[in-house]
Amino acid sequence: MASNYGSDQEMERALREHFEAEAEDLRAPQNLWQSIEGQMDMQPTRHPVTQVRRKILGALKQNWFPMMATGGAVAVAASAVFLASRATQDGLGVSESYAEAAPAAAAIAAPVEKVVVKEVPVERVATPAPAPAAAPAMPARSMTQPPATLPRPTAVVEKVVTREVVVEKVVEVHAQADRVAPPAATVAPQAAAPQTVVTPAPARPPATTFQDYTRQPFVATAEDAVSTFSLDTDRTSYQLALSWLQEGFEIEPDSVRAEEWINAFDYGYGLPADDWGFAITSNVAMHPLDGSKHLVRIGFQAAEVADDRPLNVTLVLDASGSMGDGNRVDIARSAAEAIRQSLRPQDRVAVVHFTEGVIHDLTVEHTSPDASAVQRSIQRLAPHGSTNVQAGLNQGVRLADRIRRERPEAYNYVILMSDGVANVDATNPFAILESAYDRNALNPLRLITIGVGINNYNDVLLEQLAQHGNGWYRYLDNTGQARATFSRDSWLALSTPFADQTRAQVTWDADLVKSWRIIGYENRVTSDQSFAEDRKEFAEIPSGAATTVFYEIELYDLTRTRAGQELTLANVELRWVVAETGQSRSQRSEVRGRLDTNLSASGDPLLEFGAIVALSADRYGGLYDGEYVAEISRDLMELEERLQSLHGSLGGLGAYQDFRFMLEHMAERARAQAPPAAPTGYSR
Amino acid sequence: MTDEQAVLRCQSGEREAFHHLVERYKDVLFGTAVLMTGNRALAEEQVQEAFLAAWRGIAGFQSGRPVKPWLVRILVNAVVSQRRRRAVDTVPLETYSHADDRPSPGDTVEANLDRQAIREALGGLSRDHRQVVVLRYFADLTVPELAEAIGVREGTIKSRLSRALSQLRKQLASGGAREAYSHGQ
Repeated sequence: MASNYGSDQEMERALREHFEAEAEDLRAPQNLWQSIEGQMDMQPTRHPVTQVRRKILGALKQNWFPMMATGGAVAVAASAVFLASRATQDGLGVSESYAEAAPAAAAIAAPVEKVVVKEVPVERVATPAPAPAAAPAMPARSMTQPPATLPRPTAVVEKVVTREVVVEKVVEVHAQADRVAPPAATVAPQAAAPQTVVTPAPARPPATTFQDYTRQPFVATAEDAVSTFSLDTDRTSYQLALSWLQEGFEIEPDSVRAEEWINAFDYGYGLPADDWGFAITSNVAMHPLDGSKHLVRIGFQAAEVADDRPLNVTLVLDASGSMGDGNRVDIARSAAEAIRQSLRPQDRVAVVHFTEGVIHDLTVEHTSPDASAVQRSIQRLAPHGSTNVQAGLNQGVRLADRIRRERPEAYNYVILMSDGVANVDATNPFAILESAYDRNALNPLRLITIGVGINNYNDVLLEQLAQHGNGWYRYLDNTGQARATFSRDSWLALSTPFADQTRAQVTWDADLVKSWRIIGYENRVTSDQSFAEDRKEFAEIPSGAATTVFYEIELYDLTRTRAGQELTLANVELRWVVAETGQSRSQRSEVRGRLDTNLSASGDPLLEFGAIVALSADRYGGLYDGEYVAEISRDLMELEERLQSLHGSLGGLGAYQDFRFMLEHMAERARAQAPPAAPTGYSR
Repeated sequence: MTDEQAVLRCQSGEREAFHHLVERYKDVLFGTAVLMTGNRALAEEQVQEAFLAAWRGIAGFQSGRPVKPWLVRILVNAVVSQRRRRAVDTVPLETYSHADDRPSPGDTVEANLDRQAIREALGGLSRDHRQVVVLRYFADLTVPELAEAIGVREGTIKSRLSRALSQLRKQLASGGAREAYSHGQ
């Protein structure tokens, strides 16, 4: 090479010169304006069209609910007409997706058959133990509400049936009676085993928006021994993937956030001895895919605390036209109503509806949860118009801030329910948050985002809003799930904040660990320096919730001689702000384990299960780049075999069945994409 | 006419003001689209789509804000959206056809070799890395503008840029060979 690109600065200069030289070849066609102008005739600015759209909607609105209630073709056709009209009208950001959504909606405008995609009886999970109804009720504020709960290693079946959360899980995953048919006829009627329900996944859900976060590389410990990240209790990426597959869609590799798959499961960590902190546990085992590496699991289990502080809840409901797609409005209405019913007399609730602006007629300022105005407002949620999330959140934050000043003793939640398809004013999560910026760090507003819908769904916006809004993010795909997620017990645990701004720092022993790599957490990894700061984007952990992280590590050869000993490979420190008092806290622990521990022989099937989940999600996410597909395919097949070997200990569980169903499809997709011969240059 | 004046006039429905914005930004948008997708025909469609979306949405645009990052953000959305709709990957960058591949009169053989090498190295980057490089060094967006355009944090942009530059350097040093994949990438 003639040029020298030895430093970043030289490379930058070379790139600028290169692009300058290329610019001549990259000029736009001369007639570009004529092409655009021709289409502008049909698509004028929003001012006049908004009026036209309102007329169309005014005509449709009269019969909207009755039509939706009957599930008839007319309502869906109206939705298709509406979406088609939107496709030609809205301007910014993700609006191009409507052009895609319109034909999809039109395609199901033929008589809609409400099918049960997969209604697995509770007995499948609970057999042969007693029915869930006989199980003792969980005490208030004691549940972590994991969507996919696995039992602790012993007494597998009993644990399942005595924990209401598993029943919730069954409802959450399988109760789909209120869904419409997927575009491809791939669903079997009732009670089929999961792995035989949908084959093969035919398509990707149209017009969805995700962000691929480049996976973390291996880091040489000699260069950087410190890994810092924010904890995360979200599990939406897993919920979305399972829903898509059950609806007959493929799982989008760029939708996979491995940490949300890992944290979708309950690994049965013990509670901390004291109620002020976390139980930090760690495990070390040989890597199931690579004999030269090890896996490390670190679990953080928050204490379960009782906290009787009242709540100020502000429901911000998306009433835009895209919410008319499928059963989104029904789900949002069910979730809002379930939250209202779960609130206590000392709590206060407000309701805000928004489309292209706030619907002031339906706004209810903070009042008693039993007030009829609140119930009426929730019931009147109806889809029309475009989506200005910023306006809705601004109004919600204004109301929440006012009630916070009036009732400073209360916790404050702003709950946004939306499909995330923002298209008016700010459409970027950071711009939206900036406008709704909350300056009170001591008693923060906690932004919970609830996503609804399969197609035309913006995962990025909702995830980022919650992450940077001091809250958490959930996905709901049917009304039963909405009711279960916000049932009184579940809501009490979720709405009791335990730790804010929670982050962890793992410092690897540079004498033992040659390199390390965190699985997932790509958009939660933060600078080592930031660990000392209490920042809003770090995680809010509800009472009793758990977070798990997996690392892949490479050890120096000399450690092989010490394989039979228990070694300390790293120190881990956790920092957080106590939600109740605003005080900063920290806690330390060691990552210890024997290097000769084999996952299969660890005596903990949940450890192996978690490892399989983590590695599967991680590898599958790598399909997004389209490189090394053959190697990813091989890894997924190996993981699939390992998962099958756990059938004896975990096979009776719905969570296991669901994940096996997913992994089979993931491996199948990778196989289908893989070239016949593996390329060179791959190393584990 | 300044961008701010043009935006205000567009908001009152003046097409000529929008024509002005199109002429000012069409090259940077088209070049960005070609570099991101490697396909001139597709890029033309995407640029048209982006400008039409901008026209439809300009009523909500806050005048006084910079126009270029806003247009680039719409373009990025159009590219991503089209990629999903087509459900196929786009042509690798190194295959995009140049309007004229002949060397410019002033170019030396060495300079042309360098250009070809850099093109190939860019083609070897992952989509995300190529995107940040193109938006930073071709479209000339600042890091904060880039973060807003793509919808990720500035820290993420910086780390992607750093990794992309490092990978380009390695590829150019080794004559274009790709880095071995590890599970970390």
